[in-house]
Amino acid sequence: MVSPLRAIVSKAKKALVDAPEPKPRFAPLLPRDEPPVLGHRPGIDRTIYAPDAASEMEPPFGSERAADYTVMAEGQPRKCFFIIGHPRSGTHWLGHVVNQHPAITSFGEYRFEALRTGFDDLVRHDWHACHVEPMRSAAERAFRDSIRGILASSCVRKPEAVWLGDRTPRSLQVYLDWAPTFMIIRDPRDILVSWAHTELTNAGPDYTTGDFARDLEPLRQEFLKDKDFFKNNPHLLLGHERWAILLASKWRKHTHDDLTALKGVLAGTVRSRVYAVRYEALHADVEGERAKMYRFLGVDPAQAGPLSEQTRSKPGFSQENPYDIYRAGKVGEWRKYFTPDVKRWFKHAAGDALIEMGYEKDHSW
Amino acid sequence: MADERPGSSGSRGGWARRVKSAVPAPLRRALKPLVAPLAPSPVLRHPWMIADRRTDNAWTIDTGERIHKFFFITGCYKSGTNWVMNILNLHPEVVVKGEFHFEVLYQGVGPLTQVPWFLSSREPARTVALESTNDLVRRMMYASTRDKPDATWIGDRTPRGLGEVLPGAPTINIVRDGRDVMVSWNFHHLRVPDVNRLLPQFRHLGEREVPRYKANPNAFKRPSAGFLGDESWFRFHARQWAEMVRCEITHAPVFREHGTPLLQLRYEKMHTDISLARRELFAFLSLDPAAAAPLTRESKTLPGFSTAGPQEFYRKGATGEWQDYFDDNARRWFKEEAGDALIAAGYEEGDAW
Repeated sequence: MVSPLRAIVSKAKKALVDAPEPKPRFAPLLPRDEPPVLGHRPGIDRTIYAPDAASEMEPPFGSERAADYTVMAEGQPRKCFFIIGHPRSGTHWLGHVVNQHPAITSFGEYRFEALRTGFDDLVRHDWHACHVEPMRSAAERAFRDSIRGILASSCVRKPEAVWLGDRTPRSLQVYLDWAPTFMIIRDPRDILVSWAHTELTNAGPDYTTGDFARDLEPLRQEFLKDKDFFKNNPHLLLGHERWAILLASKWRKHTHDDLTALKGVLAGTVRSRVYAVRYEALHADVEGERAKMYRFLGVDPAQAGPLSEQTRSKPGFSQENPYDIYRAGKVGEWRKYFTPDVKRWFKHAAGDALIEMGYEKDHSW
Repeated sequence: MADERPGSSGSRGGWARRVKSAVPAPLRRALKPLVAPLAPSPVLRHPWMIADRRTDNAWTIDTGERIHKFFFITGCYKSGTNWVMNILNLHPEVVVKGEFHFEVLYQGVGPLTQVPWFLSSREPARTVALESTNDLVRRMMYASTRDKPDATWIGDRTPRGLGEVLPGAPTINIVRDGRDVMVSWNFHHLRVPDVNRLLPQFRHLGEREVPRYKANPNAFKRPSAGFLGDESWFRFHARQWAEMVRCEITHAPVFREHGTPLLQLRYEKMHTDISLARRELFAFLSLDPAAAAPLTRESKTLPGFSTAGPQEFYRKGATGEWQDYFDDNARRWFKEEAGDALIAAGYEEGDAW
């Protein structure tokens, strides 16, 4: 016979198991039921995105297709390329990896999107003089000349470089037609861990504009006093519902924009040539992956210098520094920081995009 | 699908490109050394690129055939910037074509060249970024001169705060009594063809007021009519005017310090003595006033407008009209938002108005 106490406990346990999960209180940035952008899962299923097989190869100097991203610098023709990706997804590392080739230089972020926004505002309104021709064409041409000119100036740091690069964490936008673009993709759960560390270290823009100081400042102060604070209290890093949902939603929005642009690349309406590289694949086989990336630019992998910790081109770091932009460089670290609540919030805000990007098969993780 | 954006390589097609694409690639490469010298230079393909040929200053170019100089007209919205433009356009050596709004471009260039961790904020990229921005300003203004190609002076008239676009370029700034500006602004917004042109926060007001105004404009010739009766609209625009005045007060000494030519005009003084203003304007650009066409009602260069139609862009051009449109609330709101600027601009001595 079952004792009355045991019956009560058993009933309570059953009620807990059967109870529906509490609904998150904050809406994601995009509706969850939006269909996958590329129409299949995973959304990123290839390495090179180009409108056709012929345009996957780097064309030679002087070819029509390379004209818009070719620039004369120090009396020598050179080409421009871009490294993009979501913030905290490894754009720095990718830049250091490609930089080990003598023909390639990529030293940092130019942030051309600020200039692009200015240009778009200049031509947007019909009462602006640049809204109509021929000023509009002059504006677009001038924008591209500015990009080429600014990138050309970077050759002073590495005069032998043929490829001049910009490495800016941003979504895919075309600034120079057909310019090769490396897009790095990373498991968004690892991105959130890294991003939260950076935001809390610097009281970053999302932390500040999202008005999180009231709730998170005490945690931030603890973290600033003790760099291992979140290592020892991993449940606190993303343990604030609105905070976790905001970061996940922003990643989803960025990813949605990228997938939409990639769809345009395949259709030929977005004039770009994109090499999609996964952070995890680069981590697992950095030599193999970098050789493929060098070939994408048409340079010989055999001429590349070795990867090293000094140049920050090797995967991971021997010493972890939670305050630094070069924090840990690990894969799958999210498992330590994602509590059941955080998982639920993430699935609510961006679970569909996680599946579309091929990091999970369904929501049962 | 071909990209038809202007300036993209896809839109640069023509017979030469079609011929080129019809020739097999190996033959094209072989012919290149022979054909290349015959190809048109970038300047011929993009005539506005001639504007990159600057002289020793950023606001003068030498095209080889003539010297062109750039200048700017600034001031608050509804303060008479159009009037100044129309007067200057009477001269055969001046062309001013509307509002470029380069300030929005500089909102992008600012972070690009100033945020310390952006590479464009470090040399040599910073200088390249700033110079290429000057190039594009000159190119766009030069591109606007097609119907008056012989003009020496090329101008931009943008309602904005006083500030340098091309370093050292002569600038004309006009100021008008902010209270008259408010009245003119009110009618300007009542006349918008599409309420979506209003700032989002004022569209609901536009949806209510604009159809009423169209039905009976005469009913709006009274205090607090239309947008003037709405506190949030009124305060927002009074603040904008005050900011423009403060901008002039802050930047005029900087212009003088840099040796940048600056002509400061008053709408009311122009109204009183337009002949003097006309002489000042042409003298500022070292032009002979005798070469300019006379001021006429048709060219909208005489003070005020004979039609005074409330439905027209050039509505009335009157001074002191605010006294017929401001009620006690409007006076209070204006004093609170822009009273100090009104005094600083010399329109009142204190708050007792």
